[in-house]
Amino acid sequence: MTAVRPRPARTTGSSEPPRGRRRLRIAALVATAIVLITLDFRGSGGILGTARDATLEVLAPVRSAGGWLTSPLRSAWRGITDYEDLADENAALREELASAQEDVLAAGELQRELDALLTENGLNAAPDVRRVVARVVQAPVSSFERTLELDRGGNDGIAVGMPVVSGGGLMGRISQVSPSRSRVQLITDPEVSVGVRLVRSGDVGASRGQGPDRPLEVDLISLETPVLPGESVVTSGIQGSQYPEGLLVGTVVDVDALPIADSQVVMVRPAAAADGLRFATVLLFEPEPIPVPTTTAVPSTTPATAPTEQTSTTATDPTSPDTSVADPPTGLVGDSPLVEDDLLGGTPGQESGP
Amino acid sequence: MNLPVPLKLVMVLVTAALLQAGIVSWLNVGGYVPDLLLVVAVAAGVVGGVDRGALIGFGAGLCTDLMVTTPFGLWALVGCLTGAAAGYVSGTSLVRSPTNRAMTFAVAVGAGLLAFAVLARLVGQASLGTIDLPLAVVTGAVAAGILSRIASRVLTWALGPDVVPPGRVP
Repeated sequence: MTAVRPRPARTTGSSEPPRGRRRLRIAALVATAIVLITLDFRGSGGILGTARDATLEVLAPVRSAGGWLTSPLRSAWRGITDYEDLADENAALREELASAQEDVLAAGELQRELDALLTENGLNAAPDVRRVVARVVQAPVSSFERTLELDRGGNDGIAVGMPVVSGGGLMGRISQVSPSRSRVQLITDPEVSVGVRLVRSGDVGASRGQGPDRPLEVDLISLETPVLPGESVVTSGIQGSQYPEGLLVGTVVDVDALPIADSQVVMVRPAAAADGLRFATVLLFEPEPIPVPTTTAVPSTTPATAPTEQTSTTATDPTSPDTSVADPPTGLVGDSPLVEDDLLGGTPGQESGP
Repeated sequence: MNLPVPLKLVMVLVTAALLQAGIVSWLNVGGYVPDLLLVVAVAAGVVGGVDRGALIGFGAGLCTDLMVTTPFGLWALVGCLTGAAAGYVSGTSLVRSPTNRAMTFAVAVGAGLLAFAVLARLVGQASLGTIDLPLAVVTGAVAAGILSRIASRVLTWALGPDVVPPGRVP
C-alpha cells in the first residue's frame, strides 16, 4: 500500500495582495513609467542618458564576446542560406579585383583631377577633418532598434552629432557615445533630416529618411529648378550645419512636382548602404559656431530690410524657408543654427535620443 | 542554496539582459530578434500572478530601456502591462499543458510587441513606422513559445516556494 503524501497547500500567486491594493500598485508602476517617458522627452533625463551611456559601456565587452562566440553559428547559417549567392559573389569579386588592379594605376591621376574639380565647385568634403574608422556591431538588442553600434567612442574623440560615412557617402550621425562605444542614427531614419544641395543647380533643400531600403525625400526645392535623375546630392554644409559641405548623400531617382506649394519633392537613393556594413568612418567634425548678430553695429536709421536684421529674423522664423532656399549656400538659411530640422518643422536636439 | 527572492529575481533579470545583449542580438534575422526580457515578464505573470507579473515586467522593461534608444520608460510600461495581463491567466487551463502554455506565451509576447509599436507611434516615434511589424511580432512570439518551458521553470525557482509551476494543479 502506498502512502499518500499530502500535497503542499501552494497555489499560483497565492500571496497576491487584495485586488484593490493590486490595482493601486499597477497604477503606480504605470505612472512611474509615464513619468520616465515624460522626463526623457523633456530632456530633463540627464541621469537617464548617463545610465544608458554607462550600460552601453558596460555591455561592450559582453557584446564583443557574444559576437565572437556566435560567429561560427552565424557563419554556418550564412553558409546554408547564402551558399549559391556566395559562389556567384565570389566569382564576381574576382573579376572586379582584376579590373580594380588595372584601375588603381589610373586612380592617382583621376584623384588629383577630382580634388581640383571638387575644390573648384566648392564640394571638397572636409579634407582636413580627422577621421576614425570603427567596426560596425550588427547586433540590435531589440527588433525596434534601428541604430548601428560602433566599437569606437569618446576615447577616440567621437562626440554626439558627428557625421558618419561609409565608402559610398554619408550614412548617419552619432546619437549616443560612451567611452568605447557609440551609436549611429542613420539618414534613412524618418527623424533625421539633412541639409542638402543639388550639385547641378546648387539649389538647397532638406532630406528626410523614409526607412531602410527606401529613398530619402528632399523637399523645399524650387519648382523652377531643373532636376534630373542620376544627379548627385551632397550635404550643403551651410553655416551651423552638423555635416561638412560636399559629403555625397545620394543620387536622384525621381522627382515629383508640387505646383500648389510651388516646389518639388526629389527622391534620392542614399549612397551609403547600412546593410552588411563591416566598417564605418566617423568624421571628427565640429560645426562652425554661429556668429551672434550684434545690434550695436546696426544704426538706428537702418531700414527693416537691412541684411543684419533679415538674418536675425530668419534665424528665429522657421516659417520663411522659401526665401532662404531660393538663395542657396550663402543665403539666409545658412545663418540659421537649426536649418536641418527647422526647414522641415522638426525638432532640434534629437542628437541626445531617438 | 536558499537565496532571497529579490536577489534571485535580480539574477534572472541581469542574466536575461546579458543574454539578450551578448548572444540573442547577434542571432537576429534581418534585424529582428527575440525579446528575452519580455518573455521573463510574461513568465513572471504566468507563474506569480498579476502583481508579480506587473512588478517584474516593469523591471524587465527597465533593463531593455537601458539598452536601447527608444524613449526611456516605454519598455517598462509595456513590460508592466504585459506581465500583469499574463498574470490573469495564471493557474488557469491556458497554462497547464505545455502546448497551451507555449501558445499563451506566444500570444502574450506578440501582444506586448504590438502594444509597444502602438505606444511608440503615439509618443511620436516616426522611425518605428518603417519597421516590418508582422515580422517583429512573429519573431518574438515564436521565440516566446519555444522558451516558455524554461522561462516558467526559471521564474518558479526565482519566485520561491509559494508558487506552483504552471504545469501542476495545486
